[in-house]
Amino acid sequence: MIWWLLPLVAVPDAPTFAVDVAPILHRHCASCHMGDKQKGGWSAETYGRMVVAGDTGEVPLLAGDPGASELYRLMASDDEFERMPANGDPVPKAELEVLRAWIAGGAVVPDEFKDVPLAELSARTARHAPAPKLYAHPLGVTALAFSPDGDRLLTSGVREVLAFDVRSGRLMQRYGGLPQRIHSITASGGSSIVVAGGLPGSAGELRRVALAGGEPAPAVDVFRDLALGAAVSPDGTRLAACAADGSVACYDAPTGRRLWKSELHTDHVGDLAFTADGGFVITASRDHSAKVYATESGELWTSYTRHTQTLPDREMYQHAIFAVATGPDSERVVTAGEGGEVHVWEPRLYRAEDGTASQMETRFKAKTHIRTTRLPGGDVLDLAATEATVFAATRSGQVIALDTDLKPTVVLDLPGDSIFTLALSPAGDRLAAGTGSGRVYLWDLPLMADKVPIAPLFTVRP
Amino acid sequence: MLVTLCLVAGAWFQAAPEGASPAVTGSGPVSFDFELLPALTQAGCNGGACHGSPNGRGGFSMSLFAYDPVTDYETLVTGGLGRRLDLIEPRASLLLRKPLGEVSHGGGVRLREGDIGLDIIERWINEGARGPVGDGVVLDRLEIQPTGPVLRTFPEVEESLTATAHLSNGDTLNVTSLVSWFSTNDGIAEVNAQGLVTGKGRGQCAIVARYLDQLVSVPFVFVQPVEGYVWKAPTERNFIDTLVNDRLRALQYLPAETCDDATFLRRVTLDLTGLLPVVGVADEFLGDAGADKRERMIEQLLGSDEHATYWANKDADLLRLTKASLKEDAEPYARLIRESWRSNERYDEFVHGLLTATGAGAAYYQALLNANTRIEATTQVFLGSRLECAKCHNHPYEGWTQDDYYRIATNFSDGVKHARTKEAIAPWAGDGMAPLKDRRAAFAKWLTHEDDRFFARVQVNRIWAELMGRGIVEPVDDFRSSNPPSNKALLDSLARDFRENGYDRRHGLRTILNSQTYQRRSEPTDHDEPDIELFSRQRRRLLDAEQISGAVKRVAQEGRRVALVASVSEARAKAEGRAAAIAADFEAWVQGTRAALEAQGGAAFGPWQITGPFEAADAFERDFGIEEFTRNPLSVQGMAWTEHREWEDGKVHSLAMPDRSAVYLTRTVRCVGAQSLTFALGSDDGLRFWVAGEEVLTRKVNRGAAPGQDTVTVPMPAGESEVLFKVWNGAGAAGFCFSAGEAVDDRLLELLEAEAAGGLTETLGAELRGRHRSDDDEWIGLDGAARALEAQLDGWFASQRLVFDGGDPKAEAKRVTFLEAFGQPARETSCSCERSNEPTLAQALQMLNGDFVAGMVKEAARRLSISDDGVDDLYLAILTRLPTDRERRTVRAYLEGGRAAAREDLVWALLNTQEFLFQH
Repeated sequence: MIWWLLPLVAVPDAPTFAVDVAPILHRHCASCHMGDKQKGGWSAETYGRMVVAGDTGEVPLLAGDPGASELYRLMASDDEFERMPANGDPVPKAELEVLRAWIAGGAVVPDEFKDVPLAELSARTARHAPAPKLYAHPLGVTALAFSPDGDRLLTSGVREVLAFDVRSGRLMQRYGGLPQRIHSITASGGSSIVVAGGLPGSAGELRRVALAGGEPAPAVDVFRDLALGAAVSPDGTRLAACAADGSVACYDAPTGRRLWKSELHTDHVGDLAFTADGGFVITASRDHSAKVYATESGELWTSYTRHTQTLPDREMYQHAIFAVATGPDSERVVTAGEGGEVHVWEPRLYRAEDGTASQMETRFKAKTHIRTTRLPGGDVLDLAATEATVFAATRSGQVIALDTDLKPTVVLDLPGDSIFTLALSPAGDRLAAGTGSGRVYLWDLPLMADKVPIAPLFTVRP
Repeated sequence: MLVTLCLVAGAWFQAAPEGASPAVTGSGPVSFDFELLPALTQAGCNGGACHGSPNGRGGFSMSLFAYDPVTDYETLVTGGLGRRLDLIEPRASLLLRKPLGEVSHGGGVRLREGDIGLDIIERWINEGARGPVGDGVVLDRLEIQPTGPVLRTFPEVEESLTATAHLSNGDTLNVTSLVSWFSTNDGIAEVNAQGLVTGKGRGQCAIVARYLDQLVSVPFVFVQPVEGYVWKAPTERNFIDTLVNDRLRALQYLPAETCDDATFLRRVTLDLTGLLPVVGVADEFLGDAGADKRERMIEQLLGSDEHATYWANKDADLLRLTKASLKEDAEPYARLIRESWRSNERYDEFVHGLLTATGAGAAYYQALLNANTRIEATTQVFLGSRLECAKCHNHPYEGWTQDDYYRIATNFSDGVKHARTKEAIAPWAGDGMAPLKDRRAAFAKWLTHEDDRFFARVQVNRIWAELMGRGIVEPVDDFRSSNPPSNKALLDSLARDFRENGYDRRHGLRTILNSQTYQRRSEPTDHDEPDIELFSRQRRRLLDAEQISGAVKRVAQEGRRVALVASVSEARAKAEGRAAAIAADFEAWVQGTRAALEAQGGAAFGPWQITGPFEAADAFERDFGIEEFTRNPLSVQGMAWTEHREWEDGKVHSLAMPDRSAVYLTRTVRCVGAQSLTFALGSDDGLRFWVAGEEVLTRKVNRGAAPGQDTVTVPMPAGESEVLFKVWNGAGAAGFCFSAGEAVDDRLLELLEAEAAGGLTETLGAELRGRHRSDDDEWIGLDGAARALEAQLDGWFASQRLVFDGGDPKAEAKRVTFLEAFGQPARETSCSCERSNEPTLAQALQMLNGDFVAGMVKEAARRLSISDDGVDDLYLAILTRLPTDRERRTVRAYLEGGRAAAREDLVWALLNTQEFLFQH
């Protein structure tokens, strides 16, 4: 048992399939009846599969009658030779009671959950332990966003999102029930945010959180490793997310229905963004590529692989890409990452130039629309873009404003710190930066090197 | 804080055996450099196979054994936007959940509850993951107590080691529980994480502690008392025996007795020449009653060309002499390597020559294509150290750093850049601006003389390994503190003896060969199980490729000349014989040659000396202080003369002179007898010319210089005098030209004059006698023949052949296959391990029915007459001993009936005995 997940203790009055039942079935049945394994000819992969009888022909589930439901009967049996799980400890009484109550109450399953694998469903409904009341240290800011009204700054916390007042820097509200680490916060409509996070190396999830507060809804989706990024299309109809397990997925924003999922990346996908017209999803990955997906079909449009550097000894290094930003109006894409590389390009022009493998020779000689620069501050961890300016955050503690020719116009230095994340206010008139040491800075735009406060607005440490 | 830390750690160590495991540091924050990183190293995180590999694992990459703390800190804390650490809830950190096995981890479970490492990492995170302090304090030295050697006798075989880190600010830390401990031989002793050593078996090993970039080893000896053990040793013959016996006695082993004469002869002949003793020599040696006959035999073999060739071949392996890589430079290089052994060149000079050479020796660098290969080969061959590791990171097992690697590399190649910093780096033992040649010289000097840790020790250890079948350090080219010598005192003494005797390899061989240790029997002493590394007896060794092919050939063709070396020696001896014969005529030849030279006439000139220019409006006429002394211009006070050997006669040489100036040129002239000599001069512009003090020519003209513009004939005295040449420049360019009389062999003249004056030095005498020999047609013929053979031998040697095959390509191909089967290396690496001595199936097939052996068996059977004496000869030829009575009876019975194939069977059977195939 992982101790920072809240253990199930009490039997709920009216158990629901997704929150209460699915985790129990998943826990006890998975090793023999899920995935490739279908012992006894029966599978508990999804609800839809579960209700189909196995080799014995007995009906697994009869709504309203636990005793006639073979599934329940075998789990509750006193005969250890027929009792399920076979060769395992009996299912605890409290859990049997949940199962019984659910069947007795009609074994209700909402349609949208009927074909979702129980593993995923249990993960989506898993409850997280409450956030710690106080933090022993300031917490590095891995996610930062303005609230839709621009009055608050939302930051990552431990199993929570924290809301600070943009004028005073005071902590105003805490949104709990979230995973251990938060890596992305995105405003979605006027009343909610989408949060991506998880537990490193174990699980990731994408959750919608109502700004009004209250119990969090089940996760929109789950991943095998941290969810690192989320974005909402400019028209608000589509939601996309990416994760450390290499996956990228796109959803119908209002319902959370998944439209497609791609696992073409071979390493962490750290960031993603929609193009201005909403037609493409652009990803940034540690596998050295940025991929362009068609938003509606999920089809891979092209892979951008120019984040390379040739050193004097003629060895070529490929750089990880950490961040992507898109301009508010044009088709412009900005990607940045390892080695301080910043590239500005457009998907359609790039695909036309990239051609095929056989055109390699001409490709490298041809004049290209791509503009690049290499910032001296080293790795770029995040980007933000307005039509006239690109802001880059570096590992070595700089926020650099670049003009349309990628010439640095302003460099703000916060030595001894790393800038993890940047956020633009909804009106486009303010820039916020979150750092590895837990500090959040807020500056008015346009940025002027000699007129900005170099003191943080607040530190993330409840 | 550090003092507290030390005290608490000490207290913890004391408590450890009782099973308690409190924290190593009670209070104060965890030090990133001195606690956190060592904890990661101890858990194996940053090892070469895991996250310390160049590309890391699973996207997580650290420096190998934490040699780069700053980057490691950044990776741990900000890498992946801090996904590895959870400062608020440390146990949720990936850095702990992975090694604890809570998340699937390619490296498995590396930490367990109660581990000191877990405690340190968790506390470090809890304290906010503080970084390197940046106060410049570094680890100076790691001290392990006791330093050893530690001797323990069963059953009392436990020892607790403590590790203390001495920091550059003077602080000390007890790091016993933080170092990584390991044993070089787990069969002999084990060590736990707290430095508690437990003996497991009889023998010696080292316990090694690694902490950051320091590595310290402690030698251990474990004695298992042997029941009824009584020390008994044959008479010691030199210091080697004393030192070897000290070890044996300490560990309760017994040294073997001295082997018999036949075994000794076979052993020493194979070891020194790679050949079997011929029957005649064996007969004579076995019959010799002299007490010093072994010493005499050693001397005789050490002086042989076969010895030089066979041992040079071992060097040629390491120096990668191959025709494929060196092309036409292979033969000169082959000669250089062979000649070094033949003339018993000082080893330090040989190596210095190789590393700094520009001629044939530069083949050393040619055989090693790039800077990396050069440094790796050079350090492995001469320093016994494997530096490949340091190319990418500090060496994990020795004090070689990545900086060292690139500094040494800079000695060999221009434009070397450090892999990590991408910057050019100052070379080893030299200053940055020195030209490449000087850098190499500085390195060569350091290598051969200034580092006693390696050079002499590596070489004596290689010699020892060749003679004893195992190095005192084994493998012979892997010297490091975690691979200690099996007998340190012995290695030290051999190295000292080698140095004190002028790096004389023949002396080194002689010392070992004359020891009782070398001459021990190879049978195990009956007392106990044999030791492996203490040299209580000789090792039985499979003959190497060259030995076995040489041995088989000698059996088959002893009556004929088998080795090309032998014919070269013979040819050389003939030429030398003729030279000795004509040397009797030397006096007469000198007289005759002098008379002939006098009759012919002519003069020889010394090199030009020049002074000036002197400026004056009347420079042509004015005496600048020299013309008063035209007999001896070089003696004029205050004149700076510059020598120009390169100015050839008959050519115009330009002079840098201002307008209205003059220079003086002078040189000596030596005439065979009194004679008239004609000088042809040119000048730009005017000239004045003096011979033997008299002005003989004056021309004040304006012209460009050309040969023979003015000539003058002068009567010359016999012997030495001088000419003085004043060149005047009116304006513009200036120059001169000079020639005189017939061309004379002035070197010969010089030698003859030295001889007449009784001033012949040894080298001049040798040169003059060489001139004498060159006048003898017969000697020229013999010498030419010897040279031709020697050149042929160079070619054979360069293509890894030591035994002459008569040039038959078919026979040659068979033998090459045979040599390869027996492990002859392709010379593609500088590792002694490239020569394989593992028995293989291919070897068995070659010996049983390979083409080469089949041919040799036929020849041998034809050659060896099988009479009574023939049986003896057969045994002497193949096994270097006489048959026993029983063997003699069996052989005779087998031969009865005179079946033709019977003799072949017999030779074949003897060649396939263990006794033949192995050294004893």
